[in-house]
Amino acid sequence: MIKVTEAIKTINPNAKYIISGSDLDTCEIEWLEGTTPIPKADIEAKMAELPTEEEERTARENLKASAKAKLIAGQPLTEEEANTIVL
Amino acid sequence: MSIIKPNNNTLSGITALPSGVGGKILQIVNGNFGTEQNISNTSYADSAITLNITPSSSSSKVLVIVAPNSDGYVNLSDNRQFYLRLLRDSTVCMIKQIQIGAVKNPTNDYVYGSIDGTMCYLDSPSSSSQLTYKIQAKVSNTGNNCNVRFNGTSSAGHSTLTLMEISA
Repeated sequence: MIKVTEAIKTINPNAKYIISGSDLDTCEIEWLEGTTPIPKADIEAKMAELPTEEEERTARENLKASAKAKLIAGQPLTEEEANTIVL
Repeated sequence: MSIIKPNNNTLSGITALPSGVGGKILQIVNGNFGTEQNISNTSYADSAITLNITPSSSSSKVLVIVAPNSDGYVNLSDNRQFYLRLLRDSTVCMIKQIQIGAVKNPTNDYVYGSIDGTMCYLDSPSSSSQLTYKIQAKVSNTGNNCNVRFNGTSSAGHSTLTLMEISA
C-alpha cells in the first residue's frame, strides 16, 4: 500500500486521505479536508511510473559506489552522492 | 473450596457487591480489526477501530483496552509526530503522541517506526445509552508521504479494542 500512498503524494503532495484496504482495486479512499479526489486509474498509472524497490536499490548502490570512488580519487562529490554517506 | 452465598442468594441473583468489595464485570465487547488503513492527515481522522457498548447502569464504569497494530512511515530522515487518540462519542478520553525519527530503511528510503498505541482507560461515562468508542489518528505533517498505518505489512496483523462494563 505504500506504493499507493507514494503515487498519491507524487500526484498531489498535499493530499489528505484515509485508505482502507490493502489493494488499490478494492480499497476505499476517503479524501479529507477538501482534497480533490484522484481517480484510481490515475493512481495506478503513477504507480507504474514509480521505480520498483529493486530499481531504487540498484540506483542507490550505484550512487554509493560512485561516491566511494570519488572519495578515494579525491574528487568532489555531488550532493546526491554525499547524501549516501552522510546521515 | 466452599462458596459463600451472601444472604443465602443464588449466585445468579447477586447483581451488586457490597461497598468496598470491588467491581464486577457485567459485559465484555471485543473487536478484532484486520483491515489495513493508511491515514495521512494533520487533523484527527477516524480509524476502523470502533465499538459500541450500552452500559446496563449509568453508574457503571467502562474499562477500555486498546491494542492497535500500528506504525508510521515517512520518506524522509526527519522527526515526525504521530498521534492516536481514544474517543467516547465526541469526548476525548486519552491521547498518545509518538515521535519517530530514525535512519532511512536502505531498501526504499523510508523511515518506519512502530507506534505503541496501547491504551488502557477507565471511563466513567455516567450513561446507560449506547456509547461508541473509537480510535483516531493524525500526523504532524503529511509531507514526504507521512502516514499512520494500521495493520500494515502483513495480513496477519490485527488491532483489538476491548470494552468491559464494570459495576460501580
